[in-house]
Amino acid sequence: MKTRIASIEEVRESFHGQGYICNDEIATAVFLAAQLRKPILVEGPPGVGKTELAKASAAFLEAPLIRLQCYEGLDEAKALYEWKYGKQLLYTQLLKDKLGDLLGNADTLEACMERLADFGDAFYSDMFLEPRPLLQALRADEAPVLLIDEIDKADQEFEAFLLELLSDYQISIPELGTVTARNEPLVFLTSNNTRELSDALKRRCLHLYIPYPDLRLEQQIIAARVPEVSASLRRQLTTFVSRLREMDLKKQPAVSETIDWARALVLMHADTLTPAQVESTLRLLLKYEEDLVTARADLHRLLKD
Amino acid sequence: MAERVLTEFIKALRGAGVSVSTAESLDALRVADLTGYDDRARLRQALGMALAKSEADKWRYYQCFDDFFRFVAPRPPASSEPPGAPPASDPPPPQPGNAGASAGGGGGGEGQSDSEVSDLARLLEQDDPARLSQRMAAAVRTVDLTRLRVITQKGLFARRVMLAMGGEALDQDIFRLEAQHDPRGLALRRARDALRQTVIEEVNRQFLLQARETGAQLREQTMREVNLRDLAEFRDVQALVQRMAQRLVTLHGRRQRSSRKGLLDARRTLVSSIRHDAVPARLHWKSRRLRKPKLFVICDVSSSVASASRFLLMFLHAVNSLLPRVRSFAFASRCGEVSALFAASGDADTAIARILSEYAGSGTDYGDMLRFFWRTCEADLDRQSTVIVLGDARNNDLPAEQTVLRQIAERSRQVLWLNPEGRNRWGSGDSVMPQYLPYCRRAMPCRNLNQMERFVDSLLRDLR
Repeated sequence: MKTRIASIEEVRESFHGQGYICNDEIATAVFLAAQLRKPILVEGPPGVGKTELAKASAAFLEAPLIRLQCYEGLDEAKALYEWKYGKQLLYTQLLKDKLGDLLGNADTLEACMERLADFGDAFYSDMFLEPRPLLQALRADEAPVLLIDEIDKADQEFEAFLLELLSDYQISIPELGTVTARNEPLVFLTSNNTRELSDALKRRCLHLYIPYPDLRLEQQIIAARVPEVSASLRRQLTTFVSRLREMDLKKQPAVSETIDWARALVLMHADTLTPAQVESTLRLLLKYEEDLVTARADLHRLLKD
Repeated sequence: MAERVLTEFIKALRGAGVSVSTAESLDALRVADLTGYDDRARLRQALGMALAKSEADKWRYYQCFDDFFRFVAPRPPASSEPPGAPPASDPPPPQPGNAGASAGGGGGGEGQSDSEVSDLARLLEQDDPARLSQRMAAAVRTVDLTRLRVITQKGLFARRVMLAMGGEALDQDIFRLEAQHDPRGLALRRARDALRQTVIEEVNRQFLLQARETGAQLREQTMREVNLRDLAEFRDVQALVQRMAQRLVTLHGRRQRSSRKGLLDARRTLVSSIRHDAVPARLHWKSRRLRKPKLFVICDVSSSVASASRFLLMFLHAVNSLLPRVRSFAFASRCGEVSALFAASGDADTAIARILSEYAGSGTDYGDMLRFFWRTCEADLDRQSTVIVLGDARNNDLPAEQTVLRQIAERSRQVLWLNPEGRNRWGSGDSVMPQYLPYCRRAMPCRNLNQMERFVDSLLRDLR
């Protein structure tokens, strides 16, 4: 991983180069997190580019990206490590005779137990350890970017389990002892705010809130991601989307949806927004039937210049 | 220096309601070191990442930042403004450290000639806001406004700041010049009054930033303990109720999640393991039996109890996401169901206001209410139902009709009674509380927010 970052501007320019258009605040956050080696908690409505930010940062820092997608019921076995039970079983079956020989010439029960104890260590060694994302991140040869996506979906217990990793970059495995990071990863946590995260977790992180972009920024994003769109259409469609976001909708259109929409309009060779076109493509922006009905009823106001 | 400013800022931030831990303050220092203090906007963003960790906190943080650093802002022009210097040309003004002492002593000690005036007077006559604010900052530092605690101290501290700036000498100048009928006297007097105004504003601002921390705690404590009847006088009580309810929601929401998983069902696991040579290949979990609790809330909204009902409804509305189906009733002289009213408006305040205006009155008849409730809800009541009654049980000497309450209690799981009067007043005068008590699983007084919170807490635990 790149260790020295000259300035916040450097971060932003690299992001721009990758087509990730961001404001000053986001660049500052990445700069600070990388310099202070602190995890960064990114919150905001869905689809504003929280996950993208981690990807862009990994590209900027020239570091591998390790991703852990959280979900309800995620536990240590899936996040940190697991023993390869199948392999352990197979080995014991295959080595049955060998084991029999080894144990056979032991006279007493105690001697048997003693020998078995030696095997125990063999069977709970690195050979049978299946590292999951968190352990991979700790043992990586090169400092990686670790993305813990949608932490709010995971259970409360898992959040508590992460605390050790976030503050000391180490994790305790009962059978192996404490694993300390070979190279401290840069951790990104994202949350859609479906539930309140614990204070302990928040305390350990820098906090970045990404709202929906303003008109100008969204136009820049469209320009970077869908360069085929003409400037006037770009202005029209971002205005349309921002007006949509002001309405009382079940799900507001995200930036990624604006991009999809812009791509669709390009495919349809659109130069300006017409009610007919909007009518036929609105489904790309709004994913609920009732939202569609609400928006259609108000289409003229939304399209007004 | 920078460190001190930051710690003071963090103190002010805590006062504004953002909780900042020690670790976070250390982070803030490191962050500030990295970004530097030159770019204000950037510093504002960067500190925000280290100090404010939720959307609401961010908003408070930005407010507080702008408030706190407003005073520091005019400083740079002071140093980059040489034109103001030539006429004064004396060294004293730019020395912030001893400004108070030298001005105070100098003004009083030396017998000054006619045209000679104190430093402060000269500054005022030159009308140099930058240097004046610099001097005020120095004076504020010597007076140590962080000791400002309660609002009544503001006048005292403002006066101290004036003195530290050299106010005494200035007063003497004004007095002397006016005695000589010098027009400068009047001008100086006006300038002094304006300056005093600025000082008072500054002290005010410092009070808001510094003393709010302790003040807010004191205030919250008072609000929690004061009788519900008097609580309407407090302005930010709704915010407090929201906060208390929010805490309950987080607490109980979390508990719900963890208990959902259930425990290992050892018996079933063992039984199914026989199939696999006693290897427990499949684990079975005890599944919790789903309970579908129902909640009935009956609120007395007559003038004596309305405030307590108001807060109960407010609480229940705020923890709505955790509650099962709720049917609510209001009564005073007449009785009616208000569930629809409550469900229709997302905003609790308007709903409560409408309920109160529609049903409020006097002459409560608890017997009539119980009969009405029994009539409308008999079919709906079952072993899962919890009935909450909030009222003082003052029945205006009408029949108590406790047999109806007994029917209700027998049909439902439990009846809980909240009484805004203290236990020792139950049964006094026209209160029929003792007649109702045998049928209530629990009856408790709810006179202040603390008791109300405790009740809602136990209710949520119970309904789970």
